[in-house]
Amino acid sequence: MSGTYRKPNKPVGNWLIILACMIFGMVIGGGHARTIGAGFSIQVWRPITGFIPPLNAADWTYLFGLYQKTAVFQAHPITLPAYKALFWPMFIDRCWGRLIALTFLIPFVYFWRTGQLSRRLTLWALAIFAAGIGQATYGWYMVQTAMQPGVLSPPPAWAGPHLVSAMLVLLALLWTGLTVRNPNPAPIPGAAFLRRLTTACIVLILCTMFYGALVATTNAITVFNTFPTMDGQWIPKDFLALQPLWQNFITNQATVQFCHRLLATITALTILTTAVLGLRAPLPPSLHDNFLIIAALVALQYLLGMTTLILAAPELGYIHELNAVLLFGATILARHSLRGATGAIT
Amino acid sequence: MSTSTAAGEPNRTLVAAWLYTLCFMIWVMVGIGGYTRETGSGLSIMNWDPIVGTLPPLSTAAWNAVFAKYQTISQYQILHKGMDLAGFKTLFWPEYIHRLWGRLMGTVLLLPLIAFALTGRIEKRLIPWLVLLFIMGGLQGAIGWFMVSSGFFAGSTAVEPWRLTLHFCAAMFLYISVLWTALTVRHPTPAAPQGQRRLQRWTQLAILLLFCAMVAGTFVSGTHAIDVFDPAKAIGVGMPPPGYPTTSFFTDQATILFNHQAVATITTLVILITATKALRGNAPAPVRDAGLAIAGVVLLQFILGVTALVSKMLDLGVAHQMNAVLLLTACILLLHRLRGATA
Repeated sequence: MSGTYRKPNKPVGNWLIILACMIFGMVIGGGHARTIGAGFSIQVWRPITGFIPPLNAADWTYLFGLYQKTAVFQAHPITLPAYKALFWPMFIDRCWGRLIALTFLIPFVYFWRTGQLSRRLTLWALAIFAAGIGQATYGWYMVQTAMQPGVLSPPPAWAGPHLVSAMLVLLALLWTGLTVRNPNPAPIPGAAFLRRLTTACIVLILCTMFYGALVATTNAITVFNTFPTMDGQWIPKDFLALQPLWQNFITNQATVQFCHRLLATITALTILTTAVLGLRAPLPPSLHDNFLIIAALVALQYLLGMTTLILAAPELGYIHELNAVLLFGATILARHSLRGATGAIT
Repeated sequence: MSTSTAAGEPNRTLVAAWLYTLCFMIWVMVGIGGYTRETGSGLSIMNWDPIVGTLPPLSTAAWNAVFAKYQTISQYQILHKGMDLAGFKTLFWPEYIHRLWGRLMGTVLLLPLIAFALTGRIEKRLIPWLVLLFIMGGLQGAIGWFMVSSGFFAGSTAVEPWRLTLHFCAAMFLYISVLWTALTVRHPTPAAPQGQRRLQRWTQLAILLLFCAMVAGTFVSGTHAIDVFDPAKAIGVGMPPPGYPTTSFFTDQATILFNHQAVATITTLVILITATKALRGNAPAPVRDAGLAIAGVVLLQFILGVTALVSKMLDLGVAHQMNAVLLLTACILLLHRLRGATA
C-alpha cells in the first residue's frame, strides 16, 4: 500500500480540513447553546427553508407557541424577549450546520466534475456527508424529547452520542484531509509503539469526552464540588443507587461524574506518557512540537476540569469542552504523522 | 588500589552516591518537617539538647515531666486544653523524629567523610567544603531551635512564620550545595552544550522564581493561609484580595495566599517556557531529558498545589512541599547539564 506513490492534492485536502474546523465551530455553537439552556428553543425543523429567520410577529408567535408546549417552559415559563435570547444562538447553530453542508456540497461537485476525487474518495466523502446529515437528523429527534413530560433539557443518553458522533465526523474529515494532502507517509523506524499509544490516546479521549457530555447534560457540575475526593469519599455516595444498574452510568450524577474523573485521569496520564516517550524518541521536529502541544493542552485540560468542578462554573465547563476538541485534534495530527512508523530500527 | 586516585571514576562514583544519599535524606527531612508543621507538633519538645536529646522519654515519669512542661505553654492552653498523654505523644513523635533524622544526617555526613579522607578516596579540596556543610547543618539545627523557641511566648500557638521561612531557606541552600557538589563530583567535566546559552539564562531565571515561589509558600504554610480559601468570596482563587496591595504581606492570610499563587503561576509559566526551549532546540539528550523532567514535575506541582488548597488535605500540603524540592532538583539538574553552555 505504501509502495505506490500517490499524488498529493492540497486543495481537496484543505477543503476537508476546513470542514473539520467547521465541526469545531459547531461545537462552539452547540456547547454555547447547551450552556445557556437553549437546546429546546426551536421545536420545528425545516432542513432547507429553516435558514429564514422569523420575520414577523406571527412567526414569533408560532415558534413561541410551540416552545410553550415543552416541559421546560411549563416548569420555567419565560417571556418572549427571554425566549428570543434562547432562540438566536440555537438558530445560528442550525444555520452553521447548513453552511457546513454547503461547504461540503459545492466544492464536492467541483472536485468531482474536474476528476480530482478518486472513486474511493468520492464514496468516502459521501459517506461522511451522510454521517453529517444523520447527525443533524439525530439532533432533531433529540430536540423533540422536549415534548416528553419531565424532560427539561436534552437527555444525557441523547447528548452523549451526539457529541461523540460529531467527533467521529471530525476525525474522519481531518484524517482524510491530512491524508489527501500527504498521501505518502515518510517511514519512521522504531516508532510503532508510539503509533499504538497515540491510537489508545484517541480512544481514551473519545471515552472521556462521552462522559464529559454526560456530566454536562446530567448537570453533574452542581454536585461534588471537591477534589480529589467526592465530598470526602473516593467512591461517591449514591454510586449505583439507580435500578437497573446500567442506568447509573448514563443518568446518575454521582456515577457519571466519577466515571468522568476516573477516565480523565487515566487519559491524562496516558497522554502525558505518550508525549514524554514521543519527545524522547528520535522523531522529526514537527512531531516533537506536536507532542509538546498535546502535553500543554492536556495539562490545561485537566486544570480547567478541576477548576470548573471546584467553582461549579458552567462557563468554564464550556471552555473545557472546547479545549477537549483541540486536544482531540492535536492528537489526531500526531497519530496521522506517525502513519509511517515501523516496528524496529533496522 | 595503588593506581586508583581520589579523582578516579570508582571513587567519584562512591563519593557521589554518598552525597546523593544525603540529598535524599534532606528531601525526607523536608517531608518530616512539613508534616510536623502541618500537624502543629513543633512545640511539643521544649528543650534543645543536641546530644542528650537523642533519647526519647523512657519512663512514665519522664513522659509526665515532658508533658507537664508542655502544659505550661499557650499552645496547650489554647488549642489542646485537656489533652491526655496519648494525645501529647502524637504531637511529640513527629517533632522527635524530625530532630532524630537531623542527628542521623549529621552522622551520615561526618563518619563517611572521615573514612573517605583517611583512605584517600575523596579529593582534598572537597574536605574543607564538606566540613563547612557539616557546620552549616549544625547551624540549621540551631536555626530550628531559634524557630521553635519563638512559639513558647504567652498567647502564641505557633512559631513565627518568618523564622519558619528562614529555617526552610537554610535547608534549601544546604540542599542545593550538597546536590551541586554531588553532580559535579559525578560529572566533573562540563558538557558545554553548544548554542544553549539562552536556555541557561532561562533556567537561572526559573530557579530564581522557583525560590521566590517556595519562600512565598513557606508563608502559606507558616500562617496556615489555606484556611481562608473560600471560592464563594473569591478568596484564594487567584484574585488579589480586597485592598491589595496595601494589605500586610506577612500577616494577612488572603494576601499571603494570593502572593504564593501569583508567584507560583509565573514560575510555572517560566519553567514551562524553559522546558519548551529545551525540547525544541537542538539540545543534547541529557538536556532534553532534564527539560522533560522540569515540565513534568512543575505540572504535578501546580496540580498538587491546587488540590491541596481545595481539598485542605494536610498530606497533600506535605506532598506539595516535597514535590517543590523535586522541582528544584530537576531545575538544578538542568542547570548542571548546561554548565559551560556557549552562545
